[in-house]
Formats: sequence, structure tokens, C-alpha cells
Amino acid sequence: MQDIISCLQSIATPQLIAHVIVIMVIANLMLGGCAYLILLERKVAAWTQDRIGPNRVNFSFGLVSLKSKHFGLGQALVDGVKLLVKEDYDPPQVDKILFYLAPVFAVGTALVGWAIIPWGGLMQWGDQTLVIAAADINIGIIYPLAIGSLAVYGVVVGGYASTNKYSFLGALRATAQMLSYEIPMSLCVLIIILMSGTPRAEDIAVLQAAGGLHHSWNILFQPLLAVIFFTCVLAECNRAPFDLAESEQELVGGYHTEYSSMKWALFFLGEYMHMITGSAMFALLFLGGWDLLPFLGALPAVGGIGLVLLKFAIFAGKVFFLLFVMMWIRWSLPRFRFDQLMRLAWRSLIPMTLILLLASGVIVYLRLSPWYFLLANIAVFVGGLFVGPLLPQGPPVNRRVPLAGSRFSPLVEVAAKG
Amino acid sequence: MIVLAQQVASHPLSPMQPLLFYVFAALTVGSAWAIVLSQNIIRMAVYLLTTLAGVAAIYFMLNAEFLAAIQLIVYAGGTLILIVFGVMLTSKNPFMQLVTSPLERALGLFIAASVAVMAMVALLNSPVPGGAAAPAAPAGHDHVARIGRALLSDYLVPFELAAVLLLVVMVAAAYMARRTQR
Amino acid sequence: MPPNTPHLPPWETLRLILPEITLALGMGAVVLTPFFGRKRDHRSTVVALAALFLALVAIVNTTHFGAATILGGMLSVDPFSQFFKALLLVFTGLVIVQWRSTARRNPRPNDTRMQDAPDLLCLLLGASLGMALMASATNLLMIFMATEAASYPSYGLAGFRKRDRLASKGALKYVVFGAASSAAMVYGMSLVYGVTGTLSLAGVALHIGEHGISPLLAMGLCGMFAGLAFKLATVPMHFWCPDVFEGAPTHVTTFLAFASKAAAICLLVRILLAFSAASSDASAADLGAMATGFAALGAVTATWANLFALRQVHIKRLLAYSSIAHAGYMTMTAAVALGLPHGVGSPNTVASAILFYLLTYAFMNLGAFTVAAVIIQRTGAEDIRHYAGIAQRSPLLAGLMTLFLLSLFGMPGLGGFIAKVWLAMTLSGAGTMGFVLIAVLLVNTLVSLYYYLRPVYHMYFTRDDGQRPAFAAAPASLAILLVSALLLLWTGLSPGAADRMTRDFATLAPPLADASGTPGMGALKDPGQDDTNRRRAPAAPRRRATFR
Repeated sequence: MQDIISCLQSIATPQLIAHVIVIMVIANLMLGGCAYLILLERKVAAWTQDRIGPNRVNFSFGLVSLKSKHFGLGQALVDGVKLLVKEDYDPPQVDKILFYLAPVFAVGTALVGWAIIPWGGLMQWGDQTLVIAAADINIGIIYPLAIGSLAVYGVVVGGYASTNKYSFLGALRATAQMLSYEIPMSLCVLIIILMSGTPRAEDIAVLQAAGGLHHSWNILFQPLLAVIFFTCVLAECNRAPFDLAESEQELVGGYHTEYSSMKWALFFLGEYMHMITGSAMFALLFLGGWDLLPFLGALPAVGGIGLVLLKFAIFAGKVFFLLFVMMWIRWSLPRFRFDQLMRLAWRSLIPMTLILLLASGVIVYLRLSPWYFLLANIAVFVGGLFVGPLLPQGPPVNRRVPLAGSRFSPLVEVAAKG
Repeated sequence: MIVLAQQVASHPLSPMQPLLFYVFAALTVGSAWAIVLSQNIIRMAVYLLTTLAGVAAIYFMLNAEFLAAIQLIVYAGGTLILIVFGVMLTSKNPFMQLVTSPLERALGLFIAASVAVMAMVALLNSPVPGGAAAPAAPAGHDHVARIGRALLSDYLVPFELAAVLLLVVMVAAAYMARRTQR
Repeated sequence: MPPNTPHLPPWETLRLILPEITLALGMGAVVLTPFFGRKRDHRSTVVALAALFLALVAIVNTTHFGAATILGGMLSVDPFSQFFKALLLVFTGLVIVQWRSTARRNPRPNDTRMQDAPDLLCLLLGASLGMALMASATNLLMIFMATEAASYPSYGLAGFRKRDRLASKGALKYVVFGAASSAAMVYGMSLVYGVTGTLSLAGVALHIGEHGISPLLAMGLCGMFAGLAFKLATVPMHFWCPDVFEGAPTHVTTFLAFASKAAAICLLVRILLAFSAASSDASAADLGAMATGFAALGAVTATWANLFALRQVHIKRLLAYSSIAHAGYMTMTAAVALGLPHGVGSPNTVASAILFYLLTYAFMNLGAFTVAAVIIQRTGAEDIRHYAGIAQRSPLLAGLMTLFLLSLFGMPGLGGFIAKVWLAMTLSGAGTMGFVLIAVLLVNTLVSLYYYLRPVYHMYFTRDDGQRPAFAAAPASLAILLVSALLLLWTGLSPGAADRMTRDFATLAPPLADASGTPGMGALKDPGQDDTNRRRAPAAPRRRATFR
């Protein structure tokens, strides 16, 4: 008996309990939050298009009669119930194993990707300092990259297993897109590791929150890099304007055309959780993580439970803002064409991040002030503006094809000429 | 129970460790079998992915986190390429089944079995590799910095050679993929 | 300068690996040439030849240095490796000249085109770089990387005629076999590392000397040598060779036939000599078994290749089997290295015999393939039964082809004969096994006479049905042919000078004898600063070192 108690005591260290609590809180918050993100998405879409959006469903669910409509907040729950009770139909031709495996990939990777995000910073507990994150591993921000490289399999495998040519095209597009945008994304993370001198998530946040002129949010030092990283996050999440894998107009939904009910919903759950993870990564790398305001160093690195909750609230606020920006972008910008997508990655993002990596390496080596990073960013941006048009143009693909009857070559003219 | 307690005292998470190890080992070995027995090239690639992910998980358990992450990044990307190639090489019908003849199957089984038996015999008859082999790296060490330092000092030449090799491979690939008529 | 200095001043180290650096830079320059000006083929050829020449100068600049193991035991720079590298660079340069002179007005429309010159030259230089490093590598990691660096460009070169089905078939076989053998090699190396705990060749050799070869280590070594055997195209792994040689452009075939096998045999000799240098009573039996294994491998390879060559009618396939047979002869000889206790550090009979063999083999191979290339260019004949009438149409070429083929056979008076005699003399030092091997060598040589004489027979004695115009080689090809022929005659008729040279160069640097020279693990095991306390006291976060 004594053994068992000592056993339990040695297992259940405060740190482990902290990890478990964070996992339970965040996982549930994310799962519940996703439902409301979909509602927010619909609301944002409506606002952008000068509509009102879902505003009828309240929390009465037809059981009691309520006057207030609760801003339509019940919609998310109703949607969830609808998806659960819908018929789960498997088309007869699909590759069963992979068809079932694909949503698992989509959600499984999304569920573990956010493990290193230091939501609450550090907490003082007796003589110990606890890391308020789901896991505290050495490789820190390299870990989400590793998980992110697995995330694409949901799309690819799902698209293949559907035995549908539209799904299949969507999967192939997703493959090329993911492979291309992973490179600049990894390079961005590498530059941040380089300038912070550590890959550990908590240390990166602490460095940005330290205050003073030389320790501030990285977005102030590396604005161009922040823009590039955000672009890559959008692409990795398959969000518009990078949603070529599902583009409704051409591919009927792409990889998830053949999916229905909860399996379909799992894809969306995965997508929204990836959005949350991506936003959290952005907030961590560029917006100082849990830091309140740049330059001030307002929050100490370690504190009690109140500070942890405050930090968590700040972090969540930043993530929420970034999610809103993502939706804003989605409903404002048109989708890229595929060759534009590839050109953006290979001809602008990758070269620019490579040059920035080189410049950052030199700056770090010479131990210059971090404001030189800003200088390098501006130089690369201006240089890109001037050099870009001088680069050799690619082959003339995707030019207007004179399809008879299209608006570029109407049939009338053809008939007149003939 | 006493043994368990002793294990626990030596390592805070040790009761979980063997269990997790067997889970991941089963995942790795099971999907490796699935690769061999499967007849669809895409399924093989997906099983390969789970095999590699299982290996990465074992690396995580050995505290070789950087190695695990790199394993995931490199091999997941590599497997993705494999899928695309599998699709392209079977472009007439991407849903094709690879059929193995019974003779090939028997031959393969024989060779694989003999190699496995040889390996087991060799393993059982050899002295256990002693202090030479490094134990699991201690947790909490800054592996990334050390690996970086080792690559740029002791292993500089192979590292640079890898860069040159990649350049050559890229040139060859660009040549192969280029349109012939210009 | 003491010969065994792991930590030279950086400038000296840089000078010793300057040939490789030059090659790498030249490769980069070749890739960049298309961006400057229109005459890309011409410029890139000039750049490539210049890089080879500069690398050659850099090698000459190292020859006075003696033998050294540098970069913490990664590379050995010694006369043996430098001789091979110089030979390889000269050979590569001559192959490029051969390509330039035979590729124009080639009747085969999809042979290497001039505008693909930058790609071809980049791959050739890249392969040379890998092969040069193979000859120097003394660390398992380096051995693997160098072998890969030699292999990947070779895959590209083998498939260089990308519209050609034969070329694609050969290249695919090459890639698939190559990938499998690389996997075997790296798995074997991981086992070796697991058992011995070191990546350095010297450390492995020491471990073998102390503990003998355990079954697990034997498995590891088997896997490792399987990778090398693939590059050598010894018997169970020779299938790629004829197909690749047939499908690849002739200049690529010329290059691969000599360079890839020569680099592999140099590496094999280095490994085996290192093992034998550290041998002791504990390991003598195991090393003896290993020697027997290599001898059997070489003997079977040579016999198998010669028997299969008898049926070949395609000139490149025939020469492919011939090259496999030659690799077999050299492997037999390398096996003897394990039996010689006085191996490393002193001029060495095995190494000198191999170097002499490589010297003559390079040029008879170059000559035979160049004649074949000229004949393909002028008449389109790849089948030796279509060689009818060539003796009338171009007596000089027919004569030279005869000379090269006879040298490959080992006709007295030509370099090939002396080279085989040297092999036999080295083999005779190995007791009973040696005499068996000499017998194998003799029988194989006699068998090979049949297929070496078949093209000659067709050239001289088969009636040609029509009178077709005479043809001659382009001046550059002719120059290559004459140089090769003169060199073979010179080494054949007065072998003294060449023999002295190869003996002088047959010195290998003793690999770093102490296992602490093993790089890497020290860096990982080294406790360094203790990072474990960071979790407890992060209240004072580590400042960015940059921002002071």
C-alpha cells in the first residue's frame, strides 16, 4: 500500500497535473470553440456580404419558448446535432480503409499539434515553476511543423479514397500546395529560432515579453516575415484564398465531396483546429505570446494562478483576433489560380525567406541590434518590388483560351468570320 | 509491486513507458506487415507513413525529440511524394491493384524469412553491445544546439557534401523533368 | 609534418581538400553558365575542363605532403588516394573531350544534345567529386555520403537519354538496385556502429582486432560491403551494369565503366587494409574467413561475367561484362590485402598492383569505348556483327580497337598484360588461396579471349556486302585514342617507370589509431552546460545573446 502511494506521488508531480489540466481545458475549449468559429465564420461572411447571418436559433431548442434570440448562438449546437444524426453514407466505390482513415488523420493531427503552445506562461507552485502548456518539449516550435507535415494526409488520403475525380484533383492540388508552403513556413520558424537562440516556445515568449527597446514583439522586428508566415499558415490550413483543394466552384468541394455526416464534419473540425493552432503559433512567434503590450514588459515571466489566467486570456484574445482576420481575408479575397499559387510560393516567398534567413544569420553573428532585422525586412521588401518584375517570366500557361462561345471569343464573331 | 515501485522511483513515468513502447512497436510492425501484404500502392504509402510515425514516436520516447520531429518532417514529406509518384506512375489507372504471383510471393517470403532468421541468430549469438552504444539521451538537454554544433564542426564535410549532393540531384531532376523541345 | 595528424592547422587542411572544393565550385560554375551568354555548351565545357585542370593542379600541390588523416578522421589524404583522384580527373577530362568530338552529327537523334551540356557536365563533375571522396573516406558516415554522392549523379547520367526506352530501363534498374543497396549499406553501417560504438574506420578495425567479428557485426559488415559490391557490380548485384551501359550514351558508359568501379575498389582496398592493419590473433580467423569471402566473390564475379560475355553481340554490353570481369579480378586481389599483416603505412603491394591495374584499365577502357563511340557516330553500328568491313573503311580505328581489346584480354606487350601479371604476383603472396585465384585468373583470361576477338573477327574477316565510304575519327578522338594506345604500349613494353610510380604512390595513411578521434559522440555525450535547471529557474530568462 505504501508502495502504491509513493508510486502515485512520484507519478503525479505538480507539473504532470498542470499538463493534464491544460490538456483537458484547452482540448475542450478548442472542440467547443470550433462550433462557434463556424458560427462566427457565417456571421463574418454575412457582414462582408451585407447580410445579417444566422440570428434565429436561441437556446430554447423548441422545449421552452424564449423571447430573446440570443444572437443566434444556439445555431452552433444545432449544427453539431444535425451533423451527428445525419445519415452516414459511404459511397459504394470507395477504398473503405483509407476512406475511414482520412478523417482520423485530419483530426488526429489537429488534436496534437497545439501541444507546445505556452498558453499560460510559467506558474510558481511552491518551490517549483510549472510550465502551463500541454507539453514542454525541447524542440519547441519545431514540433508543430512536424505535426503539420502530417496534417495534409487527411486531405490527400481522403481525396484518393473517395474514388472521385474531383476529390482526386483536390488531393493532388493539396499535395503540391502543402509541399510548397511548408518550405517558407519552416524557414520562418528557423529565422525565429535563430534570432531567439532557442526553439523552446516558452523562452521565445519570455524573450519577447522582457520589455525594453531590444526585447519586443518579433512582428516589429520582422514585419515581412510575419506576413509571409501568416500567408503560409493560411495555405497550410487550406483557407481561402488558398482553398484550391476544395474549391466549390470547380471541384464540387474537392477532397470531401464524397463525405457526409460526422466524417465530413471531422474534416472541418480539423481545419478549424488547425486555424487555432496556426493563429496561436503566429501569436507566439510574432505577437509576443501572452505579453500584453510591446516594450513595456508589463507581465512578469512567472506568477501565480491569477497571472496565468490573465496570460491565458491575453493569448486567447490574440488568437481570436487572428482567427477573425483569417475569416475576414477569406470573405474578401478571390481564390488564387493554381499557377499563381505555385508562383507565389516558389518565386517570391521562398527566395525572400531565404534571403531573410541569410541576413538574419549575419545579424545574429555580428550581434547587432534587433532593429537591423527591420532594416533587412524593409530592404528585402523594397528589393523584391524592384527585382520581381525583372525576373524571367514563366511559360505562357493559363492564358485565355479562345473557347468558342466563351466571353472572350463569342460565337457571333466566329460566325461572322466564317 | 515492489519492482514497479522501484521502477517508478527510478523514472517518474516508467510504468507508462513499456506500455507505450509496445503500443508504438505494434503500430510500427503491424503497418510494416500491412505494407508488404497490401496490393494497392497508395495504401502501401499510407501504411508506410504510419510505420514511420511509429518509429518517430519511439524516438520521442527515447527523448530524441529533434530526431523524431525531423523523421516526421522528412519522411512525411517523402511519403507524400511517394503517393504522388504512385499516382503518376500508374497514370492509366491510379486505382490499380498490384498483383503478386504466388511464386514471387513464396520467393519473397523465403528470402525475408531467411534474413529474419539470420538476423535473429546473429542477434542472439552476439554479445550485447556494451557501453559503446549510447543510452537514451537524458531529458531536458538542448539537443538542437548540440546537433547543430556537431554538424558544423565534426561532421562538416559530410554535411557540406550533402548540400552538394542535393544540388546535383536537383540539376538531374530538373533535366529529367524539362521539356525536350526548346 | 608528421603523417598522422588529426588536427592540422585549418589552412593546411583546406589545402588538402582543395581538389574536392575546386570540383564542387566548378560544378556550381557549370550550372550557372547558361545564365551568361548563348553558347552554353561551349562555355560550360570550358568551365568544366578548367575546373578539372585546377583540381588536378591542387592534387599535385598535395602530393609532397605525404599521408595524413584529416578533419578528425573523416578523410585520409595520402598518395594512394591522390593518385586515384588524379587519374580520375584526367579520365573525366578525356571523357568530356570524347563526348565533344563524337556527339556532333550523331545519327542517333536522341543522344546527348549539345545544349544539355551544362547538365551533363554538372553531373559528371558531381560524380567525380563523390568518387574522389570515396577514395579518401575513412569514416563510415563519410563512406556512405561519398558513395551516395557518386551514385546519384550516375543515376542521372544513366538515364540521360530520357526519351530512350532502353536508357530509361537501365536507369530505373540502376536506381532501384542502387536504392536497395544503399539501404543495405546504411543498415549494415548502423549495425556496425551499434556493435563497435564508433563510426571511424580505424575504430571499427580496432574493435575487430580486439574482439573478432561477432555474428551481428558480420551482418553489419555484409550489409556495408553489399553497398560497395553494388558499385563494383560484383555478381549478385551486377544486373544493372549491362542494361545501364547499353542504354546510357557512350561517353557516360565510358565514364561509369571505369570511374564508379575504380572508386569502389579504392574504397574497398582502404577498408580491408585498415582491417588487416589492426588484426591480431583474436581476429585472424575471422579476417581469414572474410578474405576467403572476398576472394570467392571476385572469382565468381569474374567467371560469371566472362561466361555471360561470350553471348553478347552488343558492343557496350560486351564491354559491360568485360568491366564486371575486371572488377572481379581486382576484388580477388583486394581480398589478399586482408592476409597481409604489414599493410598500412608502408608502400603496399596490393595497393600498388591495384593502382597499376587502374592506370592501364582506365586507358584501355577509354580507348575501346572511344572507338566504339566513333563507330556509332559514323556508322550507327552498335552490334558487333555490323562491324563488317570496318577494317577496310577505317584501318586505323580497326587497328586501335584490336589493340585495346587485346590489352583488355592481357596480350603480352601491352599494359593489360603487365597489370594482370602484377595481380598474379600479388595473389601469389597469399598461399594456397592465392594459387587457386591465379588459376581462376588464368582460365578467365583465356575464356575472355573469345569475346574480345569477336569484334576483331567481324571487323577484319566478315565480308561487307557493299562498298561504303571510308571514315576517320575526329582529331580530338584520334588524339585520345593515340594517347591511350601509346600509354598502353609504354606500360606494356617498359613497365619499369609506371611500376615505380605506382609503388611510390601505394602508400595509405594509417587511419587514426585511437578511437577517441571519433567525432560526434563526444559532442553529444559531453555534459556541457546543464540545461535541466532551466525549468526550475526561468524567472531570469536567458537573454538573447545577440542583443547585448
